Amino acid sequence: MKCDECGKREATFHSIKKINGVTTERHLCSECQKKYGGSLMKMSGLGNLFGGLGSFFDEPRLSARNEYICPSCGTTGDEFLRTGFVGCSNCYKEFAPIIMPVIRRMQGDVSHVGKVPLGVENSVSMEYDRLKKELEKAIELEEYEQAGIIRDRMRQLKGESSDERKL
Amino acid sequence: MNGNYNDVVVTSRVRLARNADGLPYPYKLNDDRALLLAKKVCDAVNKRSSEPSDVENGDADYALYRMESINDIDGEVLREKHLISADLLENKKYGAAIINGSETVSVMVGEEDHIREQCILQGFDLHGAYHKINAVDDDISKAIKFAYDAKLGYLTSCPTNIGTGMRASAMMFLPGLGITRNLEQCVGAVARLNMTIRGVYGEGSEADGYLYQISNQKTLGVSEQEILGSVQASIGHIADAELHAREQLFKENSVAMKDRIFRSYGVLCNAYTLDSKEFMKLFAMVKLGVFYELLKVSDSQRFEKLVTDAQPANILNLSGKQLGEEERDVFRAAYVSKTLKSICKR
Repeated sequence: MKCDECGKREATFHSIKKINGVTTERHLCSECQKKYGGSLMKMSGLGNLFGGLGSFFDEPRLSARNEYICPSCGTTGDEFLRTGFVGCSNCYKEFAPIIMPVIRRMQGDVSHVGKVPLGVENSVSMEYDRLKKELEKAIELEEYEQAGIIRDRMRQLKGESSDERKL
Repeated sequence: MNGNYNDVVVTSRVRLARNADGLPYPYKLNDDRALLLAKKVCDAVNKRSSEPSDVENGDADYALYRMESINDIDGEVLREKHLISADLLENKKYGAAIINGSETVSVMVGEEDHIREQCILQGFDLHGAYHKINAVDDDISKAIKFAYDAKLGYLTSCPTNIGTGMRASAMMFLPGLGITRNLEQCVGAVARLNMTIRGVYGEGSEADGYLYQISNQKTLGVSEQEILGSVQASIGHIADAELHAREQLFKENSVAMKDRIFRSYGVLCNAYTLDSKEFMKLFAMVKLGVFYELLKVSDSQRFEKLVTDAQPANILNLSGKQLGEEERDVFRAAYVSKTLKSICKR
């Protein structure tokens, strides 16, 4: 089997991960493994996320994770790290210091820009949606400079509210 | 040889994960509120029975399946059709599925999240699947307030689904890449695009029937349209590679390929006993034979349906009897032979 990265050398490193019903396979030669090994988890999304969370925290915080207990459903921070599941919506608020690094690692440091439930207002999502339509129009009209400006604004919007996290 | 993406993409599926606001998530929910939730979702979906578009498509009849009372075979039949998950089957207490008449829309209550809404359409039609499930989602949201946060989007049991809660996927038939051993390379390329690829019936390049599922990994910081676009683009790349591999395969190994295809057809038409693994292997070759126009199919819907029909629970269901493993394999051989002889000819 050839290496997934260089496609030339024989793969000597094989990784098959099945988490939450999602399987990802990686086959790398020793050189590419050295080169890309560190970013393997990023490429395979969830790989090792719940098994090796130690790397996310320094020791004091790691030992303190049991101090997180959700008053709404009784789930503990440790339980979340072990299983990968929260017990209720409130857990996202209660476990914010431990859950946000996990989300950032999985999904990137970004905000929701998709659908908003009927009757709910989300100015970021709505603005993003509006810009997306503008972008499509600019591309259609071959106004690439304008498209670039819109794209930058969309990128900014995704990350912009990441510092204003208020749950 | 034609080379349409529909020769590669078997089905397109869009799934949305939702939770009810103020209720513990399924793993922590053990009281009567769960039953109430199931009832509310059923009522909301049943209201769709009066939707003109659904009536027109013959989709107005939604059936409710309670995991508490469904028998083992019926449950497995739905699972093999990808209409419910194994996790839902285990939720005997209040797990339920609401499925429309054409079996394109399925809403599961009490899976990993309170509500999992999905639409599966034949062929390459991710936008069509999203359009349909989005309407169902709007209807359910009128009856149930979803757990939602302005920054994190729809809140889910596992943070892998947070944001849009959306997984767009396609089941792809990849014998060209599988036989030429190019699938591994494709898996690597797909992983770099933040997509996941896995065997539908088994894992790796030996996945039964060369059937693979490709889906998005990221659900937060991307809009539904962007997810559809990126999955569609990835499917396009893989489908191009697959069609190219099929062409090369036939060009370079014409005699060997024809022999393999006709032998597979011969066995499927004449075997006395057939297990599902052997069926998947041989049927993939027959399907490839249809693509190469070596075999002609008169009823493509029935032909495609054979894959599900031949699965263990579905074949038992079709027999209408309680059969042991050996008798089931004999029945499968007869069923496949009869069907193929009537709709697939040389």
